[in-house]
Amino acid sequence: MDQTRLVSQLNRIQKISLVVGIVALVVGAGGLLTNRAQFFQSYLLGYIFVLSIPLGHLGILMIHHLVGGKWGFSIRRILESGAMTLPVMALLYIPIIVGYGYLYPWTDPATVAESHLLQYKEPWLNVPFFIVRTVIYFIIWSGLAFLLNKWSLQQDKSDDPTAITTRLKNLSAPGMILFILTTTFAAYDWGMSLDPLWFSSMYGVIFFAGHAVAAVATAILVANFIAKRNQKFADRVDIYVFNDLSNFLLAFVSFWAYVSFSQYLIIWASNLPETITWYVVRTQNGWQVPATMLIFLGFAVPFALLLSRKNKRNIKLLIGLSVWVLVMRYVDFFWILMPTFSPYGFYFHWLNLVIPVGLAGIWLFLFIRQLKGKPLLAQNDPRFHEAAVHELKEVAAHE
Amino acid sequence: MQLSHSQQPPGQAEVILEPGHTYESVGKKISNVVLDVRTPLGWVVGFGAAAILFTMYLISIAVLFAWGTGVWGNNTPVAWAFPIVTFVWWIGIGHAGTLISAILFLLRQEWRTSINRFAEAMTLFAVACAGLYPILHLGRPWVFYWIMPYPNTFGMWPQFRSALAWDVFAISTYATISALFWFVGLIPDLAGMRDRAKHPVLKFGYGMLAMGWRGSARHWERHQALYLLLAAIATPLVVSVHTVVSFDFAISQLPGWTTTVLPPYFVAGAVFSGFAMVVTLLVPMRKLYGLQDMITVRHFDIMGKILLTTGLIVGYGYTTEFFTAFYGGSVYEVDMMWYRLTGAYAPFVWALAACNLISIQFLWFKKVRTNLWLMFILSLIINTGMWLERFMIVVISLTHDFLPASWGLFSATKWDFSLMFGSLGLFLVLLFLFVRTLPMISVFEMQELIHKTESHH
Repeated sequence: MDQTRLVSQLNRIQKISLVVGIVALVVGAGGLLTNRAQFFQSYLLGYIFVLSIPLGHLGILMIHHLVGGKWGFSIRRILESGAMTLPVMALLYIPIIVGYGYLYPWTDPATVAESHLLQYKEPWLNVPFFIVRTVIYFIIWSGLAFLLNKWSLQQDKSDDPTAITTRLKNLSAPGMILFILTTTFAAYDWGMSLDPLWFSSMYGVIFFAGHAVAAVATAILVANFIAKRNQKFADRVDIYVFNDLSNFLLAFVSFWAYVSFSQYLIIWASNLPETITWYVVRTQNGWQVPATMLIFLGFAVPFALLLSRKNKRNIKLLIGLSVWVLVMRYVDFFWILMPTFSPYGFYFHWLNLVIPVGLAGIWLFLFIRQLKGKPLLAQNDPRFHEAAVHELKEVAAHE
Repeated sequence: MQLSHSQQPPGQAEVILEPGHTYESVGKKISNVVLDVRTPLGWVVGFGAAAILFTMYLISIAVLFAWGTGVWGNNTPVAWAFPIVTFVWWIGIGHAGTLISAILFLLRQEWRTSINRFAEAMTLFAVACAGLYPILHLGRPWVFYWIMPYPNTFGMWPQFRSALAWDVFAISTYATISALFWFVGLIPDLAGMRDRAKHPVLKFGYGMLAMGWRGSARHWERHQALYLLLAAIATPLVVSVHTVVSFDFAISQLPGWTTTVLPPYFVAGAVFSGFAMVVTLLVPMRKLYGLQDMITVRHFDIMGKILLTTGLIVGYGYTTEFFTAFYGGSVYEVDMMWYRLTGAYAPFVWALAACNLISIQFLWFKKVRTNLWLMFILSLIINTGMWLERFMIVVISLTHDFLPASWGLFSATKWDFSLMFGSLGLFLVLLFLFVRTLPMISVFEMQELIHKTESHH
């Protein structure tokens, strides 16, 4: 009944986000004339921040296929739509290739000639191989997103949905391995190699933990948006689903904090010259401000609030927290990536805000376009009814 | 070994409790294992073998106390050898119990019901074996309490910047919470045992332990609240204990020890080895006591999947550790990685890769996960692999540090081996005593499960 209202509102948001995206990117492109290096740095920040969301969607989607559960069926179409933006998002990487020279010191032959270590790293850190790897990451992500979407939509009309569930499961298991490896190496390449001499084996884990946080937060926001406007969806995606999703939010925020803190503690305590430099830069001259924000506002506040069941079922609070957590995702990437370009003191350029907003606008446009093209619930999956029935029993047993 | 599902109609391999059980039959069946006067021959033989190993443990400790740590192979540069390797191995094994009892409880995983009591007991005994090792390793174990921060006249205070001091708190907290959680879960069942026991001494003993449980609604309400609370407290311990153990190595400067991915990779390895141990113990135990209808093939299928997942996470740890060492280009790190692959102990490292990386690939197949013989063999292989992993980390790194002048090899003595296998004796003796004297499956939770499965129809 509310279907038309939902679609018209989605259309409006889609239009607005496209306009905002294009305007912000055009304004940001003005930065190319004034401060070219800053433009590319801000673009990289915005790109990694925005791409974190669909990457997280892809990962959580595969976890859902592997473990089932009602929460997954409720947000499956949201996750699929998010993941399906990856092929187009790949095109938005191209400006970064143009800006390699402004971002990665190892692309400069003179710098490499001066550093024995960079010469040692040349077989891995060279532009052609770097581009080849990036292309491979996007092929794997897009391929997984495409197949998972295609089969899931086929299942809606299929007479043999069980076979398709098996197929989705069978792809998701190796898919998850590929996903973890590619997100790790993408993090090493795009982020870690900005400081080509620095290394940390936890770096990739911190990135995909952050992707998961971003994915769950956006899924909560979108699921709530639809549930408010579509009764059929709201009947399925009830307060128990939001309770489960906020548990995921709690778990992933904690996991992100755990791995980030572990990396810090190990490098701080070891105090080795080859690794401590990264934190020396990031914990003084103003950079300690975002670091402290991450500890208290990025971890402690959401953690404390999400512990109570009452809060987990308080939709308004949950919406606020999800937005908050997404802001903190930005702060985290800002703190991880940007001190490299300004090691002697905190620096914030307006482009760091405009370009991420532009890319987020484009992404939201792509996301809504995907979302509108699908039925909102994957009801033909045999596990959907099983999960729904199982949950009713659970509730009955508890109350 | 007969697979229970082979006589059943298709689909029955999926159940976590074979049909036909009532509240009474479950209670009877589980408590009869303990109260039935006849002890199975398998128990006597198993306990006897465990007792022999345990005796060896006691002798090894006596020898250690008489002559000192010189009876072991530990010597500069390898000051941490078998005691620490085996300590980490044992503490890792404990993790599966906490994961099953706390995290899977919070995640409402019903299949955990029939194995959680057993796994919790395993956790406690593994922690006991683990906790004794560092104390024996002290050289002067009679002053072990100096590690505790208490006001004293000789000005001893622990060095809180050392991860070894954190370990003391991590492990003693873990032992306390595990014991409390286990005991609280046992109380209703102890009362059931009290009511079923005929012998007055048994009645008295179980009655004392049941703490006056009468099963009133108020009792149950408080019990449930406490159990949930303890589960929530135990959950972070699954991660924190092995994280602190990994810090023992990671916050140092030694190549092979200091790598940032170590904490999550240690935790995954702990759960990996713990589930392997659960499989190792449950395969013979369910057969011995005829519990195939409560611990079903489905349980092994799920545990096989968990083993595969955690094993792959451990594989991720190896991959990033190796890659980052080569990528980082530190001479010492690169050299350590080559030394692992080609040095004096390379066969151990390759054996570890075969055990932890290659063997688990069989778990992709449901046929393997539901074949209990194969699961049993794989679980032994995995536990060997996890011991070798700790050997690689602890010993190989110490033999090959920064200065070639301070390199040196390690070789274990017979007392190293006797203490290690002896600790297995301690573990098994405790476990055999547990299954003989306490209900090894949680009766009241099984009855709850029947309630839930019945309301499904």
